[in-house]
Amino acid sequence: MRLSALLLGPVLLVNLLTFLAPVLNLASLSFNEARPGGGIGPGPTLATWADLLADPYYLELVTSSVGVAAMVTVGTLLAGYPLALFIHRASARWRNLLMVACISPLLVSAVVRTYGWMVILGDNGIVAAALRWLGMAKPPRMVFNLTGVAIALVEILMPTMILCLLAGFGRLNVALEEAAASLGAPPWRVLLRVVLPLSMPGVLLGCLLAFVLTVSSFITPKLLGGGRVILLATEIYDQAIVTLNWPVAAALSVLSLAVFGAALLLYGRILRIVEA
Amino acid sequence: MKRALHGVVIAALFLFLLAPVLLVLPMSFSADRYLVWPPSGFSLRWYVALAQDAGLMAAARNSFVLALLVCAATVVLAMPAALVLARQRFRGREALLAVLTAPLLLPTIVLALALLIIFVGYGLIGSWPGLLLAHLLVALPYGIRVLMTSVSTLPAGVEEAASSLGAAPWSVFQRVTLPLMLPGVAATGAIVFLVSFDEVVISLFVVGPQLTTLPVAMFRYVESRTDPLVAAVSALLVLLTLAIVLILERAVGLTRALGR
Amino acid sequence: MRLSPLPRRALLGTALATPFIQRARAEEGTLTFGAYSGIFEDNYRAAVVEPFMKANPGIKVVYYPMGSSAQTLGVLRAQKAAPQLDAVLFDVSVAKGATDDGLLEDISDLPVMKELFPSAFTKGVSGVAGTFDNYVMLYAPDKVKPAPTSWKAFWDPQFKDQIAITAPPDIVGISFTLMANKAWGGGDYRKSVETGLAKIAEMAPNVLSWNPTPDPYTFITQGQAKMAVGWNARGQIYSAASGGKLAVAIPSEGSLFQINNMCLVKGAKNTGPAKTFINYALGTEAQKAFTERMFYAPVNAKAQISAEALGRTAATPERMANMLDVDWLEIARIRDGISEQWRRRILTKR
Repeated sequence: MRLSALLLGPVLLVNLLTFLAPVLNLASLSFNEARPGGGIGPGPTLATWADLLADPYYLELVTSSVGVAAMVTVGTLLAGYPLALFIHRASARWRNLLMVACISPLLVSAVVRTYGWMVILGDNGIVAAALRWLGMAKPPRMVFNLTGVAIALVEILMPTMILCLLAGFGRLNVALEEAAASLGAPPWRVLLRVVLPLSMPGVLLGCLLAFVLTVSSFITPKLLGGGRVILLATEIYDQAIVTLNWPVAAALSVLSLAVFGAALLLYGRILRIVEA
Repeated sequence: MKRALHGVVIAALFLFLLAPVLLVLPMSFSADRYLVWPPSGFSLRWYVALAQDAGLMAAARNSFVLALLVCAATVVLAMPAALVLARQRFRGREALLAVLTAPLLLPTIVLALALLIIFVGYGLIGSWPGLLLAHLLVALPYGIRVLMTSVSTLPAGVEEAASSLGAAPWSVFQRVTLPLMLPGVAATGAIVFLVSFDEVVISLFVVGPQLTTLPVAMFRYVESRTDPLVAAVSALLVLLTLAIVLILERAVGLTRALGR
Repeated sequence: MRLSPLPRRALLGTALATPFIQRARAEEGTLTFGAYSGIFEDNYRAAVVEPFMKANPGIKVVYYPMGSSAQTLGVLRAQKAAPQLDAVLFDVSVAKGATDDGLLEDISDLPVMKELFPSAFTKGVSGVAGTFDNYVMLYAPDKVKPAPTSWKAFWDPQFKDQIAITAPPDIVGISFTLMANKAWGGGDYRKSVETGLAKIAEMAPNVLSWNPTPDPYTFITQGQAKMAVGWNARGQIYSAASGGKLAVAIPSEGSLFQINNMCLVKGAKNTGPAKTFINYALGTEAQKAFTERMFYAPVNAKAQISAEALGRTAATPERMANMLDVDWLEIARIRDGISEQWRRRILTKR
């Protein structure tokens, strides 16, 4: 027992120093008041929270962040599901190769992938060039707005989604599908009645992760949003780094943790219904 | 007909997924001054420019050294913890595990801000100890997870056999456990290296003018200039990632290593 | 403890030589200099930083590019305990904030001070002007005909999705608020810029990007935008290089004079080399080189600058006559409020 404590000690110390203490400190900072020029007033006070919650701007920020995150989550699921199913059904030899191809983008920095989307979606980018070549005089604008940010986020989150879906497909049995088909069920019905319900746990986990990662995404909206896409994470960055209003940044962080907690609760609820 | 349509959809989705990563390769050989497609010509000028960019080169060196440090520290810290957590059942084990892996789940921007505020007080912004601690925050959960999986898949009984033959615990670990776990350690090293090398949000909050990492330098570069230079960096990074993925695939299989 | 004669002599020698050693040490080291990124960085490196390092082989200057003055101030504030920037160049209104926060060191004892124009000194702000410039309207002369003469041109619906404006906290966006307020009859900006803010919210659909990267000038030369706002010096250099794709105008309502302050960071480690650098950067040689390369009006009265280059700077009589009287210290007080209003009412609007 003593040995165990000794072996766990260093990790716990690092966790305490870099995680528990800073996060608790952050939460308590939201009960201080900001002073102009980056100063922090004495606490505890509810002033920062009172201002924040009374301000429709921040309420809108939370709802629009949640809305964007929900939209991106659905997009990621729609784009990821067919691919995951395809990989799951592929022969063992192909499956590994396809899986590496699908998941390795996860290991490439979000900066690189967002930059890639700048190359593709930009006004002088590949899509615009292709559309012009096809005869469209004025291709639709895909950068400096939510469209580009959403497209890039869907792509960036796809590997995570596919990974979760594949884990969920573990329970999927080809024999079951074949049985349903042999009983005369059309393919879409097999998908809807057999495949989808069985893969629900994977779907839910993938959606949870995609949702949380979108709410805290920040590189992509900053680089592709044209200054127009303001989400919880970008606002936290601006308040923390540029304005240096730490109490507000701290309160917004607590708010995003609350959004995260709500998503987690919802996930648990739906999972229980699905499993039952 | 239907099958063909299905094939087209799958191919299009694959293309969508891989396009941004693949396209930086041709873009990096562009001869133009701006991001324009198609490039008016091809050249190596942006690779030359990259080699001459002292800021990005220094950042790349920093990221490389930092990733190695994070790798070493993660293995040394997480290995003993993984042994205990994978083998022993004790009260509060689940809670402990949750606390240790929570940093993976929580929004990184929140962690970043929490670190910034603590670090400012101790002058750790833009310092090596600060960056190392910040990266350990996200690297340790991966390390613990992967090493725990590796411990639990060790063949049963080998260690007991060794100790029943009279080997001391330390020498059992050294002679039996560690060699058996080498693939797991390699996987941990590879994953943690990439996690540290690619980490950008937390780094962005804790770097300083005299010490910055490659992803942060790239982010700042893209914010102030849009030319194919970053495509050259990206192309090199994609190749590096590919190399590490291959190592990982050889060592344990990528999907198993990444399985959460 | 008794010292043997030899070390004692050595000590004495060291003591006598100390002033010289310190002097010599001041000429050595690496300093980190934070200033604007992009085209400013390219030209400042070539005209000032590199010649300085050639003249002072012991000193290495690391140029740390910054997107905006507000970001620089953010770094200074976050690193108050252990600054890593030794010298910075940023907008005078931001420098005022930094002075009030106790982040800057006084440099009025530098030898170069007596060569500078009186307008280089701003009361209540540490540091001294390093560049003079003015705010301008940028447009694509081959697409915008006739040439715009009023700031109100930005509100013309024909320019939907054709305008690039860098939003606050960047000083470009702050200045645009003041100009909009002035053009639409909003009255004294010291009291309220409400009219300006409301009007900008109205023209939001015309704006292609509130965060044009790399910069608004490139947006016009690359044909992405038809109109933008920016600075005269950068506008001049892009205009000359673009072969008629970009032009600079000062609208009839007038424009603003802008000062970047050169400042020494308090508590930084390389104060000696940083002072040497600042002294050089404000000197005749550097001021002449930078003005002739990038058309910032010089701050050094003794710099001998060609009439051709001077004619393109903010310092020409006709440009000076069009400058509005704006108190940048007053702006320092209201700029955070303006930035916040932008985020709330303008940026998210479509």
